[in-house]
Amino acid sequence: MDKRGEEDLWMILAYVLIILAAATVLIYWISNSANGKIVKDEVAVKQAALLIDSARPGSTIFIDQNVSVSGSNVKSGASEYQFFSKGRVSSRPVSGGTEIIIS
Amino acid sequence: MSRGEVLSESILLFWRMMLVAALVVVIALSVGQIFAAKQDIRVSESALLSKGILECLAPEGKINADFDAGKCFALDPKEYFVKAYARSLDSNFNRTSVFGLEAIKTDCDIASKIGLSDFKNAPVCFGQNAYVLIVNGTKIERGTIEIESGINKLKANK
Repeated sequence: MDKRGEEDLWMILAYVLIILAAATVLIYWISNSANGKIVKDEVAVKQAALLIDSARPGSTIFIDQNVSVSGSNVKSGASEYQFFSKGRVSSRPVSGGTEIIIS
Repeated sequence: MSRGEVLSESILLFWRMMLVAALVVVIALSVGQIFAAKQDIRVSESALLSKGILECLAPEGKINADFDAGKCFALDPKEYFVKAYARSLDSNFNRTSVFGLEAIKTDCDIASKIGLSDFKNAPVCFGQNAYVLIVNGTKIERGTIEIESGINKLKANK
């Protein structure tokens, strides 16, 4: 193979690799979007916030997801949502999810 | 390979890369709009807030004449709006208690007039009325209470 052919081959190879990398990232992202992985945390924190908003002091809520309560926010992964409650709200991880206690 | 040929190959490669990048961005934006849209829970939240305020101010249907709507919950005044208006049916007594950003209520009024589809970043409001007994010193009067709640929280819901 002459020098020109070798250069062309490397260029095509680099081009194909870049396209493959872009396609892989895109397919991975679309797959995560389509099966709800991206919105799973958001839905969990919002559902938890609504449950806390509607719960009376003295209630205990079990959520089958890993969420945490910090101040007046529910957090899960990168998602966070503010709730309002008359009681003091705390959370603790239990097997299979999280227990939220409104005292 | 001459210098001109190398330059033209480089330019061609650059535009090929740009084409791939543009294609990826277009697909990501199209798919993102469908799957990554945020869930807007403010309608339920404002109804819960309104119900909570009513239960807090008039726990057994009785409301003190010096009520304060801002004392019920520790709310962020930039994100929430609460207005409680009590009026006696037996006397001239009436009282309004307001907490939070009044611009939220103004925006809700505008949105209800021009239509929500034209005002995409509008907050969400909820209102309800109830009959109550107003405890004014030693007197107990029949009355009504109007609760209006509004929630902004645009970043978390849009």
